[in-house]
Amino acid sequence: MFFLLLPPLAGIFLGSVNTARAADNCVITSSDLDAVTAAAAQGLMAELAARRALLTRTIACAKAEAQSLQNNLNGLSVSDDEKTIRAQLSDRLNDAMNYYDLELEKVGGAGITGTQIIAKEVFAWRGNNYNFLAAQVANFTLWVKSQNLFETALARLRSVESIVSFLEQAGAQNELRSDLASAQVLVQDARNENDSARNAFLQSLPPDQTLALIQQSLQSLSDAYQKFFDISTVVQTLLPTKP
Amino acid sequence: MNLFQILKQFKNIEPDPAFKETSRRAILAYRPVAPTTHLWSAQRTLWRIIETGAAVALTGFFVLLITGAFSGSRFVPVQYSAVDPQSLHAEAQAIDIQIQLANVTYAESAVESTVQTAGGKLLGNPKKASSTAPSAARGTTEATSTITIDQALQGLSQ
Repeated sequence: MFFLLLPPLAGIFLGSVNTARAADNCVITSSDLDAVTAAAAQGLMAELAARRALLTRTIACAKAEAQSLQNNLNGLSVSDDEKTIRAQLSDRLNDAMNYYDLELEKVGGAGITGTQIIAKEVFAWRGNNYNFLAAQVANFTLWVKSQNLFETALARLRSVESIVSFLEQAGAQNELRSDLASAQVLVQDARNENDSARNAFLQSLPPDQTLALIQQSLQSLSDAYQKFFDISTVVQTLLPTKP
Repeated sequence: MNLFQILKQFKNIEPDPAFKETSRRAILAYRPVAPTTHLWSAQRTLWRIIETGAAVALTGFFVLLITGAFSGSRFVPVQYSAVDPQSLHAEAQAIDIQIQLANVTYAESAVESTVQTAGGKLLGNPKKASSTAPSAARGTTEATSTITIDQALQGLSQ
C-alpha cells in the first residue's frame, strides 16, 4: 500500500521543488520563447518538454509576484479601520495564489494543446481578475503611505489658524482671512476625497476610480499648501523674522 | 553682735505660712503642656497636603507645557514657525512626490490595458514591447529582451 502511494507523493514533492526552482528565475526573455520554437523543430517530445518548463516557470513567477505583493501589503502599517481593507485584498491574493497552484498541477499532465489552453486561460484570468487586483493593491499602498500627509496638513492648518487669529486681533487683514478660508476649504475637500477613496476600497470599486479619488485628494492638499505659502508671504511681510 | 552671729540667724528665716501654702497649691495645680495637640497636627497635615498638591500641579503644568499640550491655547505665544517657508516647502514637496507616484501608477495601468487590448500583436516583436511593459505584470525590465508574464503566456498560448 505504501509503495502504491510513493510515486504520487514523490511527484507532489518533486513538483513543489520544481515550482520553487522555476520561481527562482523570473526574468523571462524573448529567447525563452525562441527556445520553445527551436525545440519544436526537434520533435514533439522536445517541444512538449520546453513548453511545460516555460509554462511552469511563468506561472510560478506569477505566483511569486502575488506572494511578493501580499508580503508588501502585510508589511504596511495601517490603522484598525484599514485592516479590514487590507484583509480583503490579502484574501484575494490568497485566492490568486491558489488559482496558480491549480493551474500548475494541470501543466504536468498536459499535452502541447493542453499547455496552450492553460496559457490562454491563465492569461485571460489575469486580464479579468489579477491585474485589477494588483492595481488595487498598488493603489492601497499609495493611499496608506499618503495618510500622514493629511494629518500633517491638518496640524499645519491649525497652527496657521492661530497665527491669523492673532494677527487679526492686532489689526484686520482681509487678505489673510480670505487665504485661510480657501485653505480650510481645500483641506476639508482633501479629507473628504480621502474618505471617498477609503470607501472605494471597501466597496471594491474599479482601480481607476479609486486612483482618481486619491489623485484628487492629493491635488486638493497641494492646492491648500499653495494657500499656506500665500499666507506665509503675507506674514513674513508683516513680521519679518530676518534682518 | 558680730557678723557670724547675724549670718547664723539667716538660717532661721522662713516664708510666710500663707504665701507658702499658696505657692505649693500653684505648683501642684500646674499641668505640663502636651508636645503636640490634636488640632495642631490636623493643620500641619492639611498644610502638607496643600504643599504636595501644589508641587504635583506645577510639575504637571510644566510637563504639559513642554509637550505642547497648550499649542491651541490663547495663553501660549503664537508659533510663527507654522509659516516658515522651509518647513512648508518640505511638506509640499512630500505631497508632490505622492502625486507623481499616483501618476506613475495611473500611467502603468494605462499601459497595462494597452498590452491587453493589443493581444497577439505584441508577440511579433516582444523586444519592442518590453520597453513599455508594465512593472505590475512584472518580470523585470532591465534587459531589452525581457518580456512580461502576460507576454510569455500569450506566446505559450500559440
